[in-house]
Amino acid sequence: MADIMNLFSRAIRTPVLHFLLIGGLIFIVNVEWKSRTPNNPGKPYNEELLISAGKIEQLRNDLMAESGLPPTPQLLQAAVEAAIIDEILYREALSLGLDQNNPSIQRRLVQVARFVVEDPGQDEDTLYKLSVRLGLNRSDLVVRRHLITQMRLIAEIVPMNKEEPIPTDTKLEEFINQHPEKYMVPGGVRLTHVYLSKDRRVMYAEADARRMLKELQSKGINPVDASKLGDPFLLGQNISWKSHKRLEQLFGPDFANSVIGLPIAEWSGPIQSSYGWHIVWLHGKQKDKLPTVESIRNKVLTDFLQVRREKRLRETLSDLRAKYSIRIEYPEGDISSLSLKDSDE
Amino acid sequence: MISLMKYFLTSFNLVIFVSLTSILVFSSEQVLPFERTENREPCESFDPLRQPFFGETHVHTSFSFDAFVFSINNDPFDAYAFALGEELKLPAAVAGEPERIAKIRRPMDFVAVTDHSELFGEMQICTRSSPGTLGFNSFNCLQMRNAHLNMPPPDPTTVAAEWAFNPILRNFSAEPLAMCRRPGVDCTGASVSMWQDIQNAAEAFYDRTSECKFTTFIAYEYTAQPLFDNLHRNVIFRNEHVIENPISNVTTGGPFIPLLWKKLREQCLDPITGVPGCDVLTIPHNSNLSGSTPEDPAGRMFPDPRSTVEARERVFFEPLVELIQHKGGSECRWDRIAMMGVQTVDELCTFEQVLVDKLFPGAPVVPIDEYPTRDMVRNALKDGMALAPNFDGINPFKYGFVSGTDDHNGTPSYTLEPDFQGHAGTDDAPLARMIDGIYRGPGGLAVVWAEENSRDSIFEAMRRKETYGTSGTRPVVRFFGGWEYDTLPNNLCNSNDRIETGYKKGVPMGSDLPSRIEGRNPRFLVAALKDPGYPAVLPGQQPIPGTPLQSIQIVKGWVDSDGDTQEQVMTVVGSQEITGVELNTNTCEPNLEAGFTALCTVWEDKDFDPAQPAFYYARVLENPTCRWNTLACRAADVEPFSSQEVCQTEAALANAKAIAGGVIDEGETPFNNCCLNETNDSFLSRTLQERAWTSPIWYVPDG
Repeated sequence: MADIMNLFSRAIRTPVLHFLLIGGLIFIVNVEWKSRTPNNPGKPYNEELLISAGKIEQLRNDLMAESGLPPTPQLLQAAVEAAIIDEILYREALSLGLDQNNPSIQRRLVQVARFVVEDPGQDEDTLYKLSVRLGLNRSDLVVRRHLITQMRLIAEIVPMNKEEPIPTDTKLEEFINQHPEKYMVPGGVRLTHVYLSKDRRVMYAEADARRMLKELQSKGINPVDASKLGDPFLLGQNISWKSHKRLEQLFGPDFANSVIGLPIAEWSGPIQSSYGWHIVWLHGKQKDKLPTVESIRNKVLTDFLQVRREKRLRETLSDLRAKYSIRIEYPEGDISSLSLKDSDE
Repeated sequence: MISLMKYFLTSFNLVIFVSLTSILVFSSEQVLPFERTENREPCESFDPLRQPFFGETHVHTSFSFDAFVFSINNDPFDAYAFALGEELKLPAAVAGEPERIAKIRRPMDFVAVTDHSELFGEMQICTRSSPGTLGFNSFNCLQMRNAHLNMPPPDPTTVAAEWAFNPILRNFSAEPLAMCRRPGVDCTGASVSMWQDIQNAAEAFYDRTSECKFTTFIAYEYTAQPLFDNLHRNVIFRNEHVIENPISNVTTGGPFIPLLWKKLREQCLDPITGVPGCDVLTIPHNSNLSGSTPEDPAGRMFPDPRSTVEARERVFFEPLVELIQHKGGSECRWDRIAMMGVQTVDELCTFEQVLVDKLFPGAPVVPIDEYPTRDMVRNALKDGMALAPNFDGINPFKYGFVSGTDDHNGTPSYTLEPDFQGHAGTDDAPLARMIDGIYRGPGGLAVVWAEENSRDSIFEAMRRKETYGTSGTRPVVRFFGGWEYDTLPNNLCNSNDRIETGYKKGVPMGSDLPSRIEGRNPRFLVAALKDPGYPAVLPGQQPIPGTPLQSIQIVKGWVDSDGDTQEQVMTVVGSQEITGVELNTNTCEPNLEAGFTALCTVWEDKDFDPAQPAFYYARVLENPTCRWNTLACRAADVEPFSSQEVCQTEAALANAKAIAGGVIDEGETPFNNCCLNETNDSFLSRTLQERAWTSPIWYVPDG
């Protein structure tokens, strides 16, 4: 029980709360948003969206503040794009009336109003109305950010054009195959080795190793009996499953690279490491493999939905963007290095 | 990639994922030698005789005020990515130059990010909130952000000192920054928010699959530094069940360590008031800088306990101490010019010693005969045995060892001497400033012997002290104590199942010897394997071969029949002699044919007295290699191995160049440090013998 309470208290602090709040709004949004058509575009589309020179200057300064260096043209263009998207989301939010009857926004505006009005002791309702009259609901950055975040969540979650079902196992398997870098479980080896120490045998170590190999092979000695032979090795004679990378870390790259290609269930060598020479018996090899959907269902499902959400968001945003008339006041001299996409609007 | 992960975690997906995994039960028929307190897949790579895992228990990121102020942008996500092998950027050494790159040569197995909890709220508001947040435009915040952008006045060091004053440096109290007192500024809520992001980063990088590639620990630093005496601790949680807001020096109202433990007990461990599943330990560091007071003249980090309860709580919460890190070593101290030590004659104790005993720039140099004795851990270990009878037989200073870095660049475990690029962003990025801090170094590594690379396995290894610390390299070291190990004729070292026998017939490092077998002396099995070496990972680098081992020593401390503490250092295998062939000081290439690939011995204490409590720990020494200062001085065209006349001339030139370049002020002469060496300085060397220290094994007399 306490576990769930702990989880819940942590949940409160994440945007899941936004999600729950929006849950109530989705009904409204579904109706209102889907009723938009090209012939009935609604108010926000009609006003021109301007990114002024001053705004671009501000974005440049912000980027410089973050990294300490002047931004490259690519970075600046990305920031301008992000500002456009933010403004679009903000206008959509307003047109859907997300700022009305929103308790978070009301609380914030009351708080801000307390600082600016002459008589902060008035009741919350009056303060709220005052804040609207003063235009604080439009000028306050926190309110704006809140609306943008809510609108982004809606854009992710509410499909504008079509329904999308929970993905099937086949779809998930396809997803795993498409992203090997995320899901590949590295293979590895399990081995027993007989160690010939460089310290003890100095220049005879390699010759001793060759002799050891002959003896192991000719007498048909199995790995269990072989563990008494050779010199003691601090990491042990029996090495449990280790990936290629881990073998590299423990023995050095030469050893790791040689071991991968060895046959199973026979003695091979001599193989050199930073420590001397080894005669190796591979018990098993596992290739790098992609896991089954069963074994990582939750993880891959979460990732799949995440990717789909991002795709949905991108599509929604580009649909929205096409409906606005956008003007960007590029500073002089920068036109050649920035995208010319919007300079003719 | 990293920002994608951040986005993923700030969405509701994380909550769903975490809740699903905490509901699902991973069934396992395996009977584990440790308790599993979390949900995860069992590890493919599991060894009941345990494996060595290399990690970091002390690193700072841009979440720490004294890293961010020096232009560090690497946050906990970046620090974990670095430990796995990603490149990170560091601020340029000189304005106008490109940023520097850092990349670790071998990935780490585990990392705990430990940022300064005292200023989480202020840092969150000033550096990670949107401009509309209340407090964002406060004076404190403006200073911090300007310093981060390298836009004095005032300079970043001054800003850091101002930020540290109320929360960290006051003697008997502590307060948040002034901005937190303004109406509507929510420092507590902001602190919780930053702490939540720290947890998110740890979860994002913790490998819960059977691959067990990497373990993270949720952690923070408790930064008590009353009047500059260092009483810092790293607070490390076992799993994801952690307290809601870190207990900082501000929470405890000042440097009251027993109060830290008390609150940790209440909020984490207590079955009723705590968090279910929560477990925690604290690791102190830099006792070498903890100074002393009239009440605790022997040293402030390890004071006589005020009660038996305090002794018991210290033993419970602090199984380990961080023996060496960037700000110097705390094992033992020997001044080679004065030819005196702090309760020791061990000449190898010049190692990584700094001149002062407090943590602030401009602290006075402390003569060797005035140095607080217990500020060196070996002496605290000895005193602990002597104090035990006063506290119901509880030895309050029964510490095992790890090492850390205290890096403030967001680059954990970046400890190899040739790779050292400084400790805290712009503070010591230019060569001149690094060399100004010549007594300090890159720090060391924590190594644990655990069955698998998972939180529970590693945490329990830390609790039972089966750990060792290194000075920066990765030798593999085993240490066992028992009454029955074979010496002659069949020395246990020659047996291929010596480790199995080590466990069966005795105890590993960190434990107490089993009950004595009548008439016998204790015997210790110690074995070490050299570091296999490192590839080059950045353009312009050379591979670093593993340095051969030189010798293994055993350090014994005991309380004699008069009640006085004694110590003795014995070389038990290998040789102490440095003949000169081990290192080419011109090229800094070690001779790979000199020294040993591996060492092993079984040593018996023939002077053992069963009435006298004792501890034994192993110290493994590599052959010498060049210390970072030799390479750094050469980069500035000052040759530390030339005669003093030549060296001073070259140093003067380097100083002049740095002054002309605006890197240092008129009159400063940091490059003169390049001419300090084993013949004219108390502690500094041009070469060093990297080493490892195992946790001690204690003998407690019966009755």
